[in-house]
Amino acid sequence: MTRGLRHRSLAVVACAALVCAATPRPATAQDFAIVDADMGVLNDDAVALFMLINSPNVTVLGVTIVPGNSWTEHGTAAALRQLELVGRTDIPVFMGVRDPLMGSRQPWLEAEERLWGKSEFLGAYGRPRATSYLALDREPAIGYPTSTPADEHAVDFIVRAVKAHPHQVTLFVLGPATNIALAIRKNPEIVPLVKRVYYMGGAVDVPGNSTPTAEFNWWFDPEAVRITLRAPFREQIVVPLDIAERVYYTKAEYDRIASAPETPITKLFKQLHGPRFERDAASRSFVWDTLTAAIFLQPSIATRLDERFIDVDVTYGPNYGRSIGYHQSRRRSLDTPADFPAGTQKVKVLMDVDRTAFWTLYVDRMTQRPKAAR
Amino acid sequence: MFRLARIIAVAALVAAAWWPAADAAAQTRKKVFIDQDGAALGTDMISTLAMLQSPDVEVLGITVTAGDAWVKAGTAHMLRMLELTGHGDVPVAMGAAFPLINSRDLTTAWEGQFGEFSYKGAWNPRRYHGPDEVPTPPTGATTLKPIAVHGALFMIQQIRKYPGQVTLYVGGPFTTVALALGLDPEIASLAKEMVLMGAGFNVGQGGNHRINGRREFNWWWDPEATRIGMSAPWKKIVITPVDISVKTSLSDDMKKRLAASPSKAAQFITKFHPPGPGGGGGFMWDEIAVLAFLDPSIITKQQQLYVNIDIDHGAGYGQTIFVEAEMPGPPGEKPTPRTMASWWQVATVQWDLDLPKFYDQFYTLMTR
Repeated sequence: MTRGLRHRSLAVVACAALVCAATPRPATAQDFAIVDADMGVLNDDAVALFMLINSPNVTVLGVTIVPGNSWTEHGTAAALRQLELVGRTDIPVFMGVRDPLMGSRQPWLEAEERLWGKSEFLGAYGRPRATSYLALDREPAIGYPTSTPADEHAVDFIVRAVKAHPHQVTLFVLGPATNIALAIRKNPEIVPLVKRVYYMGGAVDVPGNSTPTAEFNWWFDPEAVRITLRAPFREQIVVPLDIAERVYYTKAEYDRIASAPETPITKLFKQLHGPRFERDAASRSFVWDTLTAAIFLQPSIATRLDERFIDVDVTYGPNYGRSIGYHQSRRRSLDTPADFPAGTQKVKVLMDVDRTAFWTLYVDRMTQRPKAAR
Repeated sequence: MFRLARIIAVAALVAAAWWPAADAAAQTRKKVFIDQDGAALGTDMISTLAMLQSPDVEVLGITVTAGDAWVKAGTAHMLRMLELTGHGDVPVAMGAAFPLINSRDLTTAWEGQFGEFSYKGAWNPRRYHGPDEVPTPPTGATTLKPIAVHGALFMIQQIRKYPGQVTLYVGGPFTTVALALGLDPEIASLAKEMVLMGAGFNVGQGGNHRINGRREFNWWWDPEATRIGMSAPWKKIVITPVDISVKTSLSDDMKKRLAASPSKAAQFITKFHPPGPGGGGGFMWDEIAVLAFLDPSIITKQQQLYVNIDIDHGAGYGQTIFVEAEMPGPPGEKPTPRTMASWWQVATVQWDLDLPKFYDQFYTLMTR
């Protein structure tokens, strides 16, 4: 066998095992996006939103809020205020569900943790609930918003928007999937009308970050994400911890943003991230949700997208919320759905990214002047 | 396998050395091996006593399993009862000390989600003591000692000694039975039958969680062992459930009648279960199982059901699960046997009894 031949056969093997990365085309003006998020103040959800609204070819139809990192009221205040600060109050914010599908586990979380050990991160469960997005347990670092959320439930908005723009709306599910699950159970006819769904969530082949078995978003509402992952969407792309916790945000990336000409966004970075890097120049963190926006805006950033049939363990036990990624095997062919658990769908799972290209896009979107309000 | 055989052989030797040779009359009596948990007072002791009082039964041995009391305390209670009632010659072996999976900690965490149990046996918070402590029983300290063989091995040895002849009577949790089945799975088919008090079906009281009677204490204490014990291929299983327990009580009237008898058994009840408030007794949980075994005609209604237990560690942990053995057909047609996965076993479940006959026979046994 010649050297050249061997190379080609390796490439064939690689393409059989993975989906060759560049299949989805770059986002265009026809792309409408809904960002469904457990929004925080300049957290990964917020940066993902900024990346999308600073992209010329993408129209963000609305931001829908779900409990996860924080309660819906916290997320609503954060979304409204940040859109004010970047001059994009034209993008409506919709308050979504107030609790996970099966109800809040907060009242008995102590007993749950006695059984299965402490979770690394509790998100909203670690914070008191708020009666209003204007009366949180502590005032946000960027202040309360003066704008108001839309007078429509997030679930109804998602249904209405997808129907108004059939095959054109991409859903970014950046928190627990509760809003989306309710939307597709209430109006199942929207499932085939959604262009594509991006999730940040799951820990497919790696330990979780809430419990040793479950990733936070899916741990917070396992039933909801099981519903959405099992829906026959045209295309579902999952960004799991497998890649999300191998991409580090460090002072080097921060410096590239902070040293650029000041915009409302770079000002936020300096205000909110600056002190951390001053205290500890070696500080580093993850940017989970931003990967969804990046591979949507520039698909070539995704250097490895595996195909898996994905399910979520909803048995209330130590594996509650665990992601299960069924790969192709001797008795399972990815082309034969009957080889996998009934009802599960084939999804694309992001396993690696071009870090240089990713950070170039990230810095570019964070440092450009915001698109003018329409 | 060789190692197991040797353990059993040693157990047999130890037991044989202790156990007097069976007399001729014993050949015709029903052979019973008793597995009980050992609360100092009440149904565990009184039902065991009822079995021992029967002239038709030869008790091959007793093993004590943790449940109502820890195994060491329960064994002390059992030996003391035997000592006081003239049955001190019956060999007693200590069985399983802890459930397979269930635990006091697990139970506390479960209660944090689903509510407190009204009864937790050895884990009851009132007068709780550690598994190795043996407080002086209310019946007094015993001079008798258990035999130096584990209850599971003793059970295997006695069932193997009389193939096809031994009735295994289980009045407590299944842990020792599960251990015995793990060591020697053939005992299920070598025993004549298994008779037990446990489970609950369609009853609003008698369970240990107050929601309903389906979470019965013996089964809940060790659900995984119950799954093992109830999934083994016994030739016959007879269940005395909570449903029938709650129809009976050790009444003051009965206690007063027994007090007039000079028999050691009656005097045991009189001394430790006096008539009046706080005298103890209550539902005659295990006594029904024993008396129905001695005379099946006290049972007036029973049914064949597939019976097992929920071992999911959720709200239903330890609850009885069941379905009728036959599927009712359309009107006018015969029912058909239901097809179930192989681990399900059919049991005869007792629903109702002839109360006067039951009390009458109980009185007769206790005054012998």
